[in-house]
Amino acid sequence: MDSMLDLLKKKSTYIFLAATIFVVVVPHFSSPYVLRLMITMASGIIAAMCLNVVLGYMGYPSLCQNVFFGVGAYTMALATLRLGVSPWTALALSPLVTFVIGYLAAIPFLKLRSMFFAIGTLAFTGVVSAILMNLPKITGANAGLRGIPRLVKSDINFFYLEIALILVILVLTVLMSRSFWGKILIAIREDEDLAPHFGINTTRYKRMTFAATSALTGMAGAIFFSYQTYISSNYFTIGSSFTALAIAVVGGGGTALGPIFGGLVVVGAPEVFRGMTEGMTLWRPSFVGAVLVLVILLSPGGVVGLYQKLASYFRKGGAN
Amino acid sequence: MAETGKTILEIQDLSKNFGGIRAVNELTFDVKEGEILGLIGPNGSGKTTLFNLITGVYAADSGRIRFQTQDITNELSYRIALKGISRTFQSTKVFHTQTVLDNMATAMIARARKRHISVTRQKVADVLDFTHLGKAKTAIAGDLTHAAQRRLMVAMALVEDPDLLLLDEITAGMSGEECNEMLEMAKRIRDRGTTIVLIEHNMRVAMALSDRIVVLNFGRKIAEGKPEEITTNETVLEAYLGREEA
Repeated sequence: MDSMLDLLKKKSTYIFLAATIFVVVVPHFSSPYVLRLMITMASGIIAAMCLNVVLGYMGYPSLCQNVFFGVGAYTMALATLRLGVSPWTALALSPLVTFVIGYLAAIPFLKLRSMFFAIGTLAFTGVVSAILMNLPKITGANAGLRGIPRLVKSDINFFYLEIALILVILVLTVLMSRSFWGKILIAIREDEDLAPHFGINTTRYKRMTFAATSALTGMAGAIFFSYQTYISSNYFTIGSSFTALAIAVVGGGGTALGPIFGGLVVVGAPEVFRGMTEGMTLWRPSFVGAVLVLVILLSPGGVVGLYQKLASYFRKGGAN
Repeated sequence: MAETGKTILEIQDLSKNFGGIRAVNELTFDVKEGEILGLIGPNGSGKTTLFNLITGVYAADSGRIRFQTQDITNELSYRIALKGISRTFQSTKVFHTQTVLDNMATAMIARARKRHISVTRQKVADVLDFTHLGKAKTAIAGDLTHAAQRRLMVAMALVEDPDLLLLDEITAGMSGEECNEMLEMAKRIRDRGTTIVLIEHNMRVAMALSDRIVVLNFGRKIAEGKPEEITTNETVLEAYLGREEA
């Protein structure tokens, strides 16, 4: 009973309740356009949540998150269209395939550090993008593949599917950050050369983390393109690899909730400006860019960092 | 624990080149169980390179390293640590944004999961007391004084009871008072039964602490013996002070 009362006293309980009501109720009253935006946002958030573990906890700025999103997506497309398996079987396959590709990519790329790792993974995105474009018989290239079967009928259920995956990743991230695994990732981020001297097999944890987060990103890709029913190589350009990074950084690296807020800002801002800047379409990216730069300048800890700053400011009664 | 005469570490004809430079050159010596072996030599004589070879940071070009009964030449760092060799570093290396307790947890993580939490807690409490960090448990490592950070580095190396501890200039950048404290600590570590190899720039410290000393110059061993023998060794004096030209 006491724990019940404690729960009621906590602000986070109400935030969680409000978020739950929002997530459950709002889609029912949303226009198809807004719902589509929310589904897109959710898939970006999933990719960024996975990247957040690699970047925020482990300290590796990966620029190939969209490759894994794509591997999962093409697993869904090819398994259903070419092999004729059911979309749910394809959804189960997608993280397995992405895990293997993620693990194989981890072997060479995680030997690189900081900006070299970033450039290496960016190049990897370029290579994968070129492969997708140059194998039209398999991938459909620019023209794409149509008729990917949908996992669920209604768009709302796609949204719920993504929310379920977000919750799973959120719980996994929190559990991970409180376990030995989280401590090891932080040790790797803080001083990767020091960690092995305590008997920590850094290579193993780095590869497993990279592959596991890739697998979950792949699942998000499979869900999104099953919703979309159409996939083409145009979705997986080098430019698109920065979206997940922007979401993770703007949200606040190394915090479990950061990517959710980051997704709202990075995917949401262009849409907010869409209404405000009629007739100024070409200028829109500049406004979006300005918002992102502002967030990063005001708070290197991202949106979550900004919230914490403001909260502590008001707690002190505005003093100091 | 006193020296038992048993060899714990055996370095045999060990060499390491960096480009054209022979950092370690056909080096051979033994470390006996329970002793403090001092490793001295002018700057660039290969002392830290030797530590990096023993702990798997660098791969040796030739030669052998044996620890207890196993060949550990070119073994991976984490495996060497698990076999019971711990080290500290010349420049202070701790996880700066983490608390002292989190640092300790990370230092134990590879082994602590296999035993009861109470044993782990006791180990941490003991080693923090031992290194005078008991009151700083919740402090962020980066906020500690330089001397306290270096004590934390020792605590982290010590907490899993290594059989061999490699100390790389533990007194670097410390005041006289702090140096003495560190000296006392090293002796107490040896008394706990841990064999120590220490690199030391400060001759007073090296002489006061070591049971035996190995002197390196240009990657080669130029002398080996008890501290009093080393202080009067012609070759050593020449290496440190230079030859007087006629």
